[in-house]
Amino acid sequence: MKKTNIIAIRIYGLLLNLYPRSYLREYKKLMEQAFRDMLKEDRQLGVCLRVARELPGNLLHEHMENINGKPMKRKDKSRLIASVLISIVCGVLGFFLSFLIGEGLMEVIGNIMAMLLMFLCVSIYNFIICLFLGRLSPNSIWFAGFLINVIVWVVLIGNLRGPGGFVDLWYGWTALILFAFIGSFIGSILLRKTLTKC
Amino acid sequence: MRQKQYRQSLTPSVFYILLALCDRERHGYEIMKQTEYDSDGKVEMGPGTLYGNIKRMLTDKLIEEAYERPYLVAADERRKYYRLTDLGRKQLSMELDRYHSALKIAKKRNFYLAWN
Repeated sequence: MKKTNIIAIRIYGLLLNLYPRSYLREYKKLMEQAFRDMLKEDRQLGVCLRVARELPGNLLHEHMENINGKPMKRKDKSRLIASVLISIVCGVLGFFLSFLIGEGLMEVIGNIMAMLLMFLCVSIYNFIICLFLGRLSPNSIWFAGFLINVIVWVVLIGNLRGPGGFVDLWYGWTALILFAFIGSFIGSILLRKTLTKC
Repeated sequence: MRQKQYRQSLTPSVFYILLALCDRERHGYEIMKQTEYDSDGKVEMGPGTLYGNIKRMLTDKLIEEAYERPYLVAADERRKYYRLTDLGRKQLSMELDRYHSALKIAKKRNFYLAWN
């Protein structure tokens, strides 16, 4: 077997670990075998492109199925995409709003009070967004909470050490993110409980 | 509930997997190749799509694992072979009937000839 094929098989084996564990227990070896067979008979580039093209969709599909315990329908998929887009917009908006308000507040009530207030605001904001997205699509709630916080992370890391940034203390930002996550997860858990009761 | 859903329509991947298994049991890679061949290359599946569909079809009892393979001399023991269940066969027949009747209507209205 070609050396490049061996490398491709190893990379594919590593990528397969992104699938849910229950799925891997059943299908990992079979998928690796099928990938090896494809490499034997088809052009390597074509095989890799095909696998790369289908991987993100399949990962999403299997994880959602794993979380919800049932397959996703087409309607669910479009709702999920809508929820993810909304969560991206909300995450960006939320950050900039909190940034603007926080900057103004700092001058009035001082750094520590402004920071505490910001923690609370971000938690409540994420809580509300998660509840709203959960109503739109219960399947997407974990992704929504996750995405909102990832966006906040990315923007914060970019801004962290900049001169004149909102807060240039590591612990301040860490606490902010922690509160944001807590808000999201409480929102998610409460919603799931409500839906289960319904 | 799921069976009811399948009665409405099959996705192209599920349809071609059922079609690939209609004459004999096959393993995963064979199904992929047969699907590509049957669809003139229009339905290309990688291992992820194939086994994702196989998993759901096993749950829906459209296919099952073939443990005994008496007439397959060159069967590879490491692989899993799949075959149609009665329900899978029925679903495939219903889908083919649907295509057949749609084709008849299209022919009757001269759309089929004009299209060709």
